[in-house]
Amino acid sequence: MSHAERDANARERSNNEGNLETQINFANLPFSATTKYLIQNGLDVRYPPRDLIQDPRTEGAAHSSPAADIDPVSEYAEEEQRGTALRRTRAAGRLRDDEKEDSASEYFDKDDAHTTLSNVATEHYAAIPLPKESDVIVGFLHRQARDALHDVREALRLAPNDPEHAPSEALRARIEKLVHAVHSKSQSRKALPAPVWARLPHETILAIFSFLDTPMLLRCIGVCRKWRSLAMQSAPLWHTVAIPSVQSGEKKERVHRQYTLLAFFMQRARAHLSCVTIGRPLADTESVQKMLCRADTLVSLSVECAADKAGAWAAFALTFPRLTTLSIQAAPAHIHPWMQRPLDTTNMHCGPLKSLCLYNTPPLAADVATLRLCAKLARLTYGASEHAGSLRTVRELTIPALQALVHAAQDTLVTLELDSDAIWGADAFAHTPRIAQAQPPHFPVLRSLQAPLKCMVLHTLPDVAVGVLVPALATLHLQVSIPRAAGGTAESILAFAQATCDSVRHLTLRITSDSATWLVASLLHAWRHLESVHIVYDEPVSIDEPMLEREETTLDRPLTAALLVRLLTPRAFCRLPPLLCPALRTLGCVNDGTLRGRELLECVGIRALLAKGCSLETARRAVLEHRTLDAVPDGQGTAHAAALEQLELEMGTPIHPEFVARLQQHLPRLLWKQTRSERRGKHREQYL
Amino acid sequence: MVLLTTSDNEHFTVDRDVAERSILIKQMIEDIGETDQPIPLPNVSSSVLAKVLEYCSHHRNDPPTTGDEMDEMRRRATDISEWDAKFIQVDQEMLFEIILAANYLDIKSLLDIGCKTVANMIKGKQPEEIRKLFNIHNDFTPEEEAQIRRENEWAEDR
Repeated sequence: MSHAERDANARERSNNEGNLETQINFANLPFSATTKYLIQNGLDVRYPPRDLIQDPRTEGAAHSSPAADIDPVSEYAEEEQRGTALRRTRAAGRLRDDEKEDSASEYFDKDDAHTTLSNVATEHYAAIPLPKESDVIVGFLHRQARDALHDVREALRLAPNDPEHAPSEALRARIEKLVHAVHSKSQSRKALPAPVWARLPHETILAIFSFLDTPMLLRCIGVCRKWRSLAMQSAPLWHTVAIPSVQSGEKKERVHRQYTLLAFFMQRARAHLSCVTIGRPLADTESVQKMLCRADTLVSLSVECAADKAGAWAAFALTFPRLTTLSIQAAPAHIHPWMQRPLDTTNMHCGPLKSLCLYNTPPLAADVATLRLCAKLARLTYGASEHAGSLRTVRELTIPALQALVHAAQDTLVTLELDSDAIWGADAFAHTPRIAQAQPPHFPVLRSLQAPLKCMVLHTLPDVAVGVLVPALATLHLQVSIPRAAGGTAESILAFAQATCDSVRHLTLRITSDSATWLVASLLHAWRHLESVHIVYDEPVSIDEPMLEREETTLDRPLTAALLVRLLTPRAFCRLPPLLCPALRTLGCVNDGTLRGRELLECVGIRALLAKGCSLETARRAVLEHRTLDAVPDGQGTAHAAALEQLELEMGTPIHPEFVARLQQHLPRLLWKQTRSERRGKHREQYL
Repeated sequence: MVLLTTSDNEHFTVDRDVAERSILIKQMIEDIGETDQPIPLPNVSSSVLAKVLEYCSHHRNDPPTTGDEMDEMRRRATDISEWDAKFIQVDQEMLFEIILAANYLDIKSLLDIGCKTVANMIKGKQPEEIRKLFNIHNDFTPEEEAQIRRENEWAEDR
């Protein structure tokens, strides 16, 4: 039986069979029943109570309640409040002592709130005489209109199952009248008539929460008391802790804030902590490792730290027995990280990692322990920013080491991201003739890879040689700008697109104002099986002029996100073959302040109408003339299945709500997030 | 064939493998054996049961999933398959009715779809928007609200 039912049944029992069972122990009921009861009886549900004086608003509410004259409960409420005040003072005193030791004291929920409050409720219930059935229901109705609706509905629903206690016709009529009155009152105020959430069992609400990430959970605990207490008390929800880097402010204060936040999360998660992200400057302190060292359940650790701490973090992380994902991103240092002593992997307790991301850290050695550590890698990211120093020596060190690692993980590796001048660049191998002769010039590491790579994140333009080596490539993140002019690089990426045209399904494209429209169009034409395209555009440039009205749009224009969306709209672009990417289902735009809502609506709208069988002409007219997509004329035309099913927008500028509402009518899924401008340029993170 | 009776006294006759997507019904049949007697479902109305049975018959051949596997799958994504996404496109009242019914009838996969859908509705929204969406009363005191705002500033500040 669910909590809600138990709750309702308990109340039902106490109403109908009061002679048999006159006591309720609130400790056995869900916490919500306790708080509901306390609120209904005008008692203080805050824990710990701030002061001895009763909140004047609560007291006032109890007196002004229209139910006060017919409900025997409130007569006793005040007396009871005085009685419990003493107990609560003691409880508050004890808590204040706790606070001194507790770094996360500013959060007012406490685990023992449940016990104390249920005691208060139990004693209060025991003190009141048995009310008559009708009095209770009517009393509830007036005090908590919306909760009462639920109670009455429950009572009516359960009543027919129990003929002996079925309410009389007169009572039914009276309830109906009251329900109607409350219903119309609450409807005039809010959109929805009944508190749907009130009927969900607690475990279901927690199940819903389990699909949310930590930032969303933090918002949810600010919605209402019930959500807050539920979420705060459920440790498994808090399995992921993220303390991102903070740049602004005095260092001491930043560390303190991050530390308090970490303490708050760890207190919530208790033995369920599995994923931890620590940013700077907290990651540079000694205390954080002491705090984490008992978290044996840790599966994933991600750290941003100073260059000199990277080695220590790696050694520390490898002591967690269940660790499978490790990411260490160090700040750039004066000397090249690869010139340092390799990371120490001899003292590790964890099994082989599944994912490893190292940025600006000392190199991994190709020794036995390291190769064992990397034997089951599915994802490897290895990179460093540019530094002074002998790149040639670095290359001679890194390439053989990386090849050994990639070879060790050859059966499992699906994602490889290598980002460093030490590995890339055509000229890199001019100095090392041995490698240059033995292997394709641009991608020596891939040569040793037997398992087909499925996902690549590229920080340099690939060429056909790379394409041949990755026949199963399905996901491609192009982190470089597409060249403006025709020439060697443009040809090489086109050749790459041709080589991978049958397998690539998902593309992330970073475009700049330098990107050539014709080249992107040709690329999209080559990758004809694309199912999702994400456009990353983070240059603040002037707003596009409206383009859809104009029939002619040339391929010579500089590329913008709006133009790219238009490219993907079938046949809206006359100089191109009829349909680019017919299988496209998801379109994402990240951080684009230039893509205007209406234009996107129009492009997406045309695509949607085409999918419904309209001719292009009809679709364009419907969208342009009516500015609405509601009336879909039944045209016959293109047979292209060009249905866009999902649109993801992450934008720096707000979209008009009406536009969002319209889009939602035509797209099964619309995910929209407004990005804060400070976060621009941090897209790298989402691939790590 | 299994006979089911809803709260509004409507009768449904369904194949046994469809009905047994519900662990509650499955256990009931195991307990009482095959019977011609209708199984009463006093917590489910006919409109909701019709919807639930539509789901069950579409998924009648799904392999049963073990607990571990389920957990892993659930954690990974809030993705919903195409058919399920269309199926769950109902108004809020019906969505919650389906969730309640899935919980009562113990149909884990349907409960998950319902919960995921609600989670997707919550995603990206501010607390005030969430309250408006689900008609939730803000019962925090102003001081507590200020406290919560501070917490969130800490957490979201980057």
